[in-house]
Amino acid sequence: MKDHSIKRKKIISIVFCYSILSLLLIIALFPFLHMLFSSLKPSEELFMRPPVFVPQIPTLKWYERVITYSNFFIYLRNSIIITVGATLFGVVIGAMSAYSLTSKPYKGQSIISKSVLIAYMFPPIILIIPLFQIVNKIGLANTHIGLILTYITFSFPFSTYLLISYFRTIPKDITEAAKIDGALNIKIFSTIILPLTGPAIVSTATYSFINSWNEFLYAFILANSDRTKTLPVALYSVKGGEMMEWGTVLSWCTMLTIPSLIFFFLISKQLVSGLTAGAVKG
Amino acid sequence: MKDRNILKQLDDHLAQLFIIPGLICLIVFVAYPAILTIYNSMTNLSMLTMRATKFVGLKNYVEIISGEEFWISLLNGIKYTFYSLIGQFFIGYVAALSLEKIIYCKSIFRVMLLTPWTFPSIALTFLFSWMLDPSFGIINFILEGLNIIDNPIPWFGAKNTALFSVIMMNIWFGFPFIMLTLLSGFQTIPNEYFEVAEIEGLNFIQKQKYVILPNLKKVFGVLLILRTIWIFNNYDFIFLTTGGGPGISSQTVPIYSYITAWKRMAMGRGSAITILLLIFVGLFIAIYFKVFGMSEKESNL
Repeated sequence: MKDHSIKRKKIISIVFCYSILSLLLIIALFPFLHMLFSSLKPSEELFMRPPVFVPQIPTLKWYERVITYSNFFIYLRNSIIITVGATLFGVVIGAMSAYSLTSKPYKGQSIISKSVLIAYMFPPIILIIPLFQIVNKIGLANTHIGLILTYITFSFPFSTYLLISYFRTIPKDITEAAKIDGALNIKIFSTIILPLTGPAIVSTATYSFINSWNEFLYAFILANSDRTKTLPVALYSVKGGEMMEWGTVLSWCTMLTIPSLIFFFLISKQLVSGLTAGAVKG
Repeated sequence: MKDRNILKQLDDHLAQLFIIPGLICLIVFVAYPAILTIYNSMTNLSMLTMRATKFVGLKNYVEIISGEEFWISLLNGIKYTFYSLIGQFFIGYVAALSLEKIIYCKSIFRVMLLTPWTFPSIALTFLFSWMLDPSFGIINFILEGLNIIDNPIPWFGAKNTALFSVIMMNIWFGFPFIMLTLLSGFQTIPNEYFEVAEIEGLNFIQKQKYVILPNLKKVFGVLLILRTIWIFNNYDFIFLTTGGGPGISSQTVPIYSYITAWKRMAMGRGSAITILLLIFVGLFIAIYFKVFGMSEKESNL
C-alpha cells in the first residue's frame, strides 16, 4: 500500500517536472522562432494585425537584401578577422599564463593570478575612454589590429580563468614522472599538458570566439569606419538609419545568432565543467 | 655544451617566462588604462579636442556626487541587477532541479533551453524591440488576447515599464546559464547523499536545505558574484533598447558614464563616473576574494 503511494507520488513529480520544462522550452524558443519566422515573411505579413506566427508565403527577400547590401561582405570579413585575431591571441597567451599560474609557486605568482581575475571582472566601460586615447595615439584607430588588441582585454583574462581550472585537473604524478625522467618543461608542456587539455582549449577558444563575435561596445566606439566595422555595429547603423526595415534587421539578427547558437550547443557540456570546476573543487 | 646549459636554465624558469606575455597584457591593457582613467577623471578632458586643458582635482567627483542623476542611475543599476538576478536564479534553479529529475529527453531539453544564452546582445535587443513594439509587437497582441492588458503598451518607451522590460529580457537571456552551471554542480554531489535523504524520508524543501544547498554553497557563491558584476557592468542591453530613457528612468551607471563622456562630451567627468562604478565593483571583487578562501596556499584564482 505504502509502496503504491510512493510510486504514485514519484510519477506525479516527474510529470510536474516535464510540464515545467516544456513551459520553459516554449518561453526559451518562442522568441528565436519568432525572429526566424518573421525574417521569412513578406512585408504584408510582417505588419499584419493580428500577427501570424508562421509565414504563409515564405520569402528570402530580406536575406537577399542584406547580402547584396553595399558592404555586407566587408563587414563579415572584418568580423572574422577581428574575432579570429582576438581569439588566437587570447587563447595562446591564456594557455601560457594558465600553465605558468598552475606550475610550482614563484615570487609574484599569486598576485598575478589575482590580477587576472580582477581583469576578468573589470567593467568594460572603464577601459573604453583610455583605450580610445591609446589606440588613437599609436595610430591604430579604425584598424583591425587596433580592435584586436582591445579585445585582448577580455579574451585574455577570460581564457586564462577558464584554462586554469582545466590545467588543475591534470594529475601532478604525470608531469612529475616525466620530470624525473629528465624531460624538459617545454617538452612536458607541449607533449603532455597541451594534448591532455586539447578539448578544453578548443572549447575555451570557441567561447572566446563567440564573445568577440557578439561584442558591441568596443567595436561601436573604436572601429566605426566602413573599413573596420563589424557585423553588430553595421547592423546598429542599419536600424538607426532613416528607413527602418524590420525585415532586414530581423534577417540580419538571425544570421548573426545562428553561428553563435551552433557553437554554443557544441561546447555547452565541456564549457560548464570548466566554469564551475574552480568553484566545485576548491 | 654551454648552449645546452643556457637552454636548460631557460627551461627551468619556463613558468616565469610564460607569464611575460600575459603580464604585458595586464599592464598595457588593464593597469595602464585604469591609471589613465584616474588621471582623466581629475581633468576637464573634452571629447571634442581630446585634450585636457586643466587639472581640476576632485571637482568632477564632487559635482557628480552632489547631483541627483548619479544616485538615480545607481538606484536603477541596483534594481536592474537585483531583480534580474532573482529572476535568473529562480528560473535557473527550478529548471536545473527539473532536469535532474527526468531521464527521457534530458539532453534535448538541456541543449534547447540554452537558446536564449546564445543570443548576441545586438540581436537580442533588436528582437525584443520588435516583439515589444507597440504597433506590431506580438507580445502586446498575446497579452491583449489573454485580456491581461487593455491597450498596447510601449514597453521600452514608457517611463514605468522601460526598466521592467529590460529586466524581463535579461532574465530570459540569463537563466539558461544558471541552469547549466547548477546542473553540473548537482553532478558533484555524491549519490549516497540523495539515497540517505530518500531513506530518511526528507521532503522536497528539506532536501534543498540539507542536501543541495550546503553542497553547492561555493558554486552558488561564485555564480552569484560573477553574475552580479556582469549585470551591474552591463551596458549593451539598456543602451540598445531604451538608451537609458525615457528621461533617465532606465539609466544605469555605465549608461550615465557613456552619455556624459560621449554625448555631452565631458570625458573627464565620464571617467570619474566609471571610477565610482569601479568602487562598487571592487566591493564585490573584495567579497569574492574574502569568501572563496584566497588563502596563500590555494590562491591560484
